Amino acid sequence: MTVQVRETLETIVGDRWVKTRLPELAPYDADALPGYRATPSLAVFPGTRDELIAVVRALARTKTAWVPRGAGTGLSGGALADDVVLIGLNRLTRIIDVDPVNRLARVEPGVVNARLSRETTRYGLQYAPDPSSQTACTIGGNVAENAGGPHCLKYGVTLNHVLECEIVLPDGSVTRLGGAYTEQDGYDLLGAFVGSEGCFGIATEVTVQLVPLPDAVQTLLADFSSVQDAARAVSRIIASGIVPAALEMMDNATIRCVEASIYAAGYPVDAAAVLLCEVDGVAEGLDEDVAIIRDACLATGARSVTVATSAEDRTRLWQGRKKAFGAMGRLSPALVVQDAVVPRTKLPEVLTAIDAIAAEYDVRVCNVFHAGDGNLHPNIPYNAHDAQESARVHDAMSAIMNACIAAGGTITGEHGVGLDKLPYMETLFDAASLDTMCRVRSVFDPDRRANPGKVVPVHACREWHGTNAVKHDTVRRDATTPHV
Amino acid sequence: MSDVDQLAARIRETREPLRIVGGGTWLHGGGPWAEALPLPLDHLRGVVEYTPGDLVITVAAGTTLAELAATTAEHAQMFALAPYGTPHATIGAVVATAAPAPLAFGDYTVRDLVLGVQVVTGRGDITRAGGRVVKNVAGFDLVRLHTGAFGTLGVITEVSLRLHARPAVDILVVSTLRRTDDGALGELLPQLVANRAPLPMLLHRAPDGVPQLWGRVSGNPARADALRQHLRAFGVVDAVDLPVERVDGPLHHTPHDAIVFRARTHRSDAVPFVRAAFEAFPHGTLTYDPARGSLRVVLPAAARDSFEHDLDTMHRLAAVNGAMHPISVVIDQGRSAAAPHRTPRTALEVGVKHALDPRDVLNRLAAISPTTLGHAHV
Repeated sequence: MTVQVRETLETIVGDRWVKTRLPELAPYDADALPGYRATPSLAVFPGTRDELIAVVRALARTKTAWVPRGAGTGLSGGALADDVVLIGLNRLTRIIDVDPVNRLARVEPGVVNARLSRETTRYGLQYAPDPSSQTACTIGGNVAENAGGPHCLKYGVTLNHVLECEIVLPDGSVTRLGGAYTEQDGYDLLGAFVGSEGCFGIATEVTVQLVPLPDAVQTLLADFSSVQDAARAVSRIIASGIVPAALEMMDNATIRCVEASIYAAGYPVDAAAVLLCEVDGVAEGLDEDVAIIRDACLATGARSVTVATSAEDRTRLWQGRKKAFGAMGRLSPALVVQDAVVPRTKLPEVLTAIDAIAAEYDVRVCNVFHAGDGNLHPNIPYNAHDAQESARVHDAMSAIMNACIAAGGTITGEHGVGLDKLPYMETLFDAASLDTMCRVRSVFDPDRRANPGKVVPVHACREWHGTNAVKHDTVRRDATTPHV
Repeated sequence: MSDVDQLAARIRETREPLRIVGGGTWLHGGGPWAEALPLPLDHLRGVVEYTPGDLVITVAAGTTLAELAATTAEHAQMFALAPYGTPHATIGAVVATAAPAPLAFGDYTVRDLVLGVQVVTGRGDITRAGGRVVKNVAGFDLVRLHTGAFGTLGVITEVSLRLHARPAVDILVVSTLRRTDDGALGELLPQLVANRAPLPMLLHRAPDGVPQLWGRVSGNPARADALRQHLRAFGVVDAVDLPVERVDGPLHHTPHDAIVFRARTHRSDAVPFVRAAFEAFPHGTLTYDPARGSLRVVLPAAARDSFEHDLDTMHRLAAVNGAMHPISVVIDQGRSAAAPHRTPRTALEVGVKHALDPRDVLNRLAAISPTTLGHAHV
């Protein structure tokens, strides 16, 4: 990083918001996925939209590569900057406006997801996507990753709720994609931008749609003596024609973690699995949906089905689910949170395969996942300082990913490819498909300076022969934590 | 050599522009250049893979909506929307045009339901995007890019779709307004705009007819009853129930010689604009979707003045009602209304076109092509 670039950035944002010393940069060495570490050459934190655009333009003038970062809660290593500039967006926290009549909100990218929902509740509206990290993750990060969450089963993922973005392209030009309408004309560039993991530019402003809060909500907990039975119940519920707001599964290992933690939710610790199912909407007919779901669970072998009888009950049941990852922290100092999707009917066989893989590699897998979508999160707590255990974790995760691909699934449903899933992209897509992705990326960023080395392996791009801007293969995995 | 391999070879080797031919149901305006060589897809038909338990089906792009409906109905499942047009339209065309669909189950749009595609690009590469699962963020989202690209980036040869199980009750309820005086619409529209119930609705008026309120009532019997009551609260009577399969009904039929305008407006600006449009086009078919803020005006040859005059009327309506936000007016399937000026966005569109179809051989002059893209913002 040249002194000239640093001084230019300091002129734009002020000395205080440009970090160059190693101790200052240390917090940005990793995201929420342990195992990968990379240190940015410099971190810059614009405080306004105009400062952000000026920063990107300054970096464009010197052909400098950069990585955007929201709250750093990502789970794919996507926000790691390896000796390139890191652009922190966490100072851009304005909710620009909430328009309750048109059910829209305009926000800056650093607005925390849960804060937006809180601010809109007073109008009887909500921002529906609810990643488990919603109390920390930002809307800009959600847009970059096309984040999901438990309630996306009914309400859709981030892409279904973002109507318009103002973006700054890597060359510093500014444009708007989409429009504050649900139908759009022209190529769906907004659709391509959402989920592009910071490789197409940075959203400087995001317009999202808000949806009415449901009139009524019912939450059920079904208790199974077999994971496979619980998986079959999922298919049966979906096949009944009901679209639950959420349909989540936790296995015994996860239940025990939760019940041993301060987030204890009253889950039965002897259950092989529990299903947490929520239905919402018009109050009339909700009891009938609950009865259908209860019957579906009992018919597939549930030992019992209980229905939350109060708001406190419901909150308690959800707290256990949403804090499950934190509860797993009690088991070991490090946790691999994985993400894959399989066709729903393949859930029983894939869960069986995961059990076998865990036994083969002598690792402990805790499954807590969005069962209604077939979106698995096999998690492995482990000791990151034990090289042998870390290697086994790595191999087990690779085996799980390959099992999901073999079952007709995909390698990520909501966490993104980032660095972590790069090795699987060539298993999932053929060369021509990857090359097409590369060509579209080049339209937005011909120099490959925006989040270099992520999402698509560079050598998969036939037309691109590299520039001097990108160091893409040097992000180090910790010697003792080779994979997550 | 498979059919798709042959198609790819043809695209790679062509020295002439090609126009993709599906079910032949495209309206006149703005279709691909007629002189281009036809690239028929009628041999790409049928189910590739269907696991009812997954509620996902993969079909060849030339499969018609009618065939899709028949296959899924055997398992009490459905593709959640029936786009404007006929059941003989192909699913490839529905995806390629991101066809608007009235009263879709769950208010879904085409973009919500396409999980994956196989596409032969204008370079002649056989590519895949997305997959067969309902949630997928692996790689850049080229499914969204091809959806609504009007075949200008590539030929869609295969589509994976999300299906839904049929609920116990799923019907169209058609009602007329209790009052027929001039103020009736003025009272109804604000209520429709403010609706919070999960109930797909349309305000529809046939040429020289009276406005009707259409609703899609779905769910278990108790919920269906509640939603029916909800519809009645809008001041409508004479409810008629129709099966949702009525895709050949008056709502969907568009005369082949028609010009179709679509306008979009925010909820806050909708009432005066929609009222004025209903008055301005008494001989047209008008359909207003309050959830999407979209107004569709169908003007058959017999009902219209000159194209320019009708377009001017649409713009005037959008401009004179004190709208706080821009109201966009577009013309379905082509007919550029204004030359686009070059912006970073149009540069991106041109770039995407060049990246996937550098020789501009596919569906030249189709509505969305950046070279002809026309928006009229008032």
